Amino acid sequence: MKKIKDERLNLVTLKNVRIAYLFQTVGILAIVIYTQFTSGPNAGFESPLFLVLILSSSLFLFLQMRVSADIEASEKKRKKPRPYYLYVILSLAFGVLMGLIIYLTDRQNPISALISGIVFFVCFLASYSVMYYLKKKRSSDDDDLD
Amino acid sequence: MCNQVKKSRIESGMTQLQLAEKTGVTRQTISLIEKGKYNPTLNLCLAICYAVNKSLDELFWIDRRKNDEKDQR
Repeated sequence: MKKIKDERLNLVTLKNVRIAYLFQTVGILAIVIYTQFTSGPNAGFESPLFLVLILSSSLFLFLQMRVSADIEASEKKRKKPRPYYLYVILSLAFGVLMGLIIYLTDRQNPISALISGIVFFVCFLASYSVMYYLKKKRSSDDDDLD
Repeated sequence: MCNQVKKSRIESGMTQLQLAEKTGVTRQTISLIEKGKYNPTLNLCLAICYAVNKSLDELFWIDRRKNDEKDQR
């Protein structure tokens, strides 16, 4: 296939990709729901399609952070991002809270509570770190304008 | 958005296809730009200006009053 150089056609291609992505997502969701109805609730979650759906949604949300950072920067008054250690403390707090909740619901399995807490901490820290990096980058871009 | 691309292209003695080849887009894109149905990026505007030896002003500038009138319509 020839590489498209025309900017208008690139935009059309992007719109087509968006439609195909939407169709694919609805299709995967329909298959997962159908599997849950036919083979029980856990079968749907165990399906690799569900993993693909969750991973692609997470990737989309991470990529979309760049858009959120721009919207936040233009809506709110320009200010320096909060220090990074606050994000670490916040992530740690979420991790501990979730670990505690899981421990309190199932006291016989402290290891799984610990692992869940660590997973929550890492997930929150990763997303906060990306947001912090984007905000800092935006802030330094704004400083260049002054 | 209305522009002077068609007029300048004809003055330069070029066909839509020749202008398209010079600017690296398809003939359909040039046709849509001339009809005002597609707004090109600044890069493409410049490429068109270089191809027909005109300035951005001459090809794409619209008087503010005219533009406001067009928006109200």
